[in-house]
Amino acid sequence: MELYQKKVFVVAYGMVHNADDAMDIAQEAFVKIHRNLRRFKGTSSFYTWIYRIVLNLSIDFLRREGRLPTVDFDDTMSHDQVADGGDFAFTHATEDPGMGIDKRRMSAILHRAIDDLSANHRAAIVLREIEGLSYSEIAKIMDCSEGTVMSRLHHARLRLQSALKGFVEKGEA
Amino acid sequence: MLTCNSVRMELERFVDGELKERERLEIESHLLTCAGCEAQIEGILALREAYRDTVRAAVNEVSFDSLWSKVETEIDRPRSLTLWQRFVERIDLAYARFAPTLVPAAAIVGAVLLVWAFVGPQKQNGAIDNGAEVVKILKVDPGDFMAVEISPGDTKVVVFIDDPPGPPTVSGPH
Repeated sequence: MELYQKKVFVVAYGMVHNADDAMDIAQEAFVKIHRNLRRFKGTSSFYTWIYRIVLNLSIDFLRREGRLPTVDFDDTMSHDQVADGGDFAFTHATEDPGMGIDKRRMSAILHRAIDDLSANHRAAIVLREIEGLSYSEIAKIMDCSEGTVMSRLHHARLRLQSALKGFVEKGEA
Repeated sequence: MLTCNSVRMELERFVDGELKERERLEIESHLLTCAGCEAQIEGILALREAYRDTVRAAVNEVSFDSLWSKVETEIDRPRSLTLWQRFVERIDLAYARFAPTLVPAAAIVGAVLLVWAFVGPQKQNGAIDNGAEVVKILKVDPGDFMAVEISPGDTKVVVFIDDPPGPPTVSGPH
């Protein structure tokens, strides 16, 4: 199980943005995994099963804490709509002088922007950007289509990008 | 030759490694000559890197030392479940344990029963409808009929549909 501890923590942290809460979720996840090991059907990969457990626990936690935004994005956009419109270009702030301070500020801004995302968009961006999973793996974990994964990633990236753009513009001003 | 519009439609799939080899090469060749699309890609990658940095920093600060002792304590702690929760858990567990063998077995039994329902219980020629046993065979005309006594004083004429020795069919009281 120690093989999985970092992955479990990282996904939980990506969802809740607090190390203590993420550790509590990781603990709960391992207890749940242990208790339900006999129920693991083997129809999906072990990682898929674990990611699902961690995401569900994280979402439950965020709901309990009232830390999920009430307004969700539309997941039903077509590929053309997803790809249409969206400016991702921005200057990378960490390359600026005073990098340490910038990184901390950028991290805080990113966290705030991610907190504004719905649980599904958060999960998609964590699984893709941190864990590096493919669209099909994310779709299996989140029990949705690959198109929905693309749509969620697109929305999430645009939101985060726009938050960081503001940060860069303020920094440059 | 790809246009900027068509490239930007596939930018995220490109960055995420979801394109086929040919599509990827086309976009790469476009990027060599297009600073605008290149900037878009850099934006997505910079965001990824910034996000990874924040998570990496958090992971580096935590210690997993106490995690396992807490997990073990929690696993060993007796759980306070209601009777219903225990029942559901048992059923759930039994289903998970036996479903891989029971479901195919049930499917096979179902299939056999279905086949038997169509071909098995065909009424055989000569079955006596009321289930009475033949007391005495009175007369047999091979290939035509047979008279039987099914109880004292009660006789039936059995007509052969198939040639003997196929079983007889009861045509009614006689």
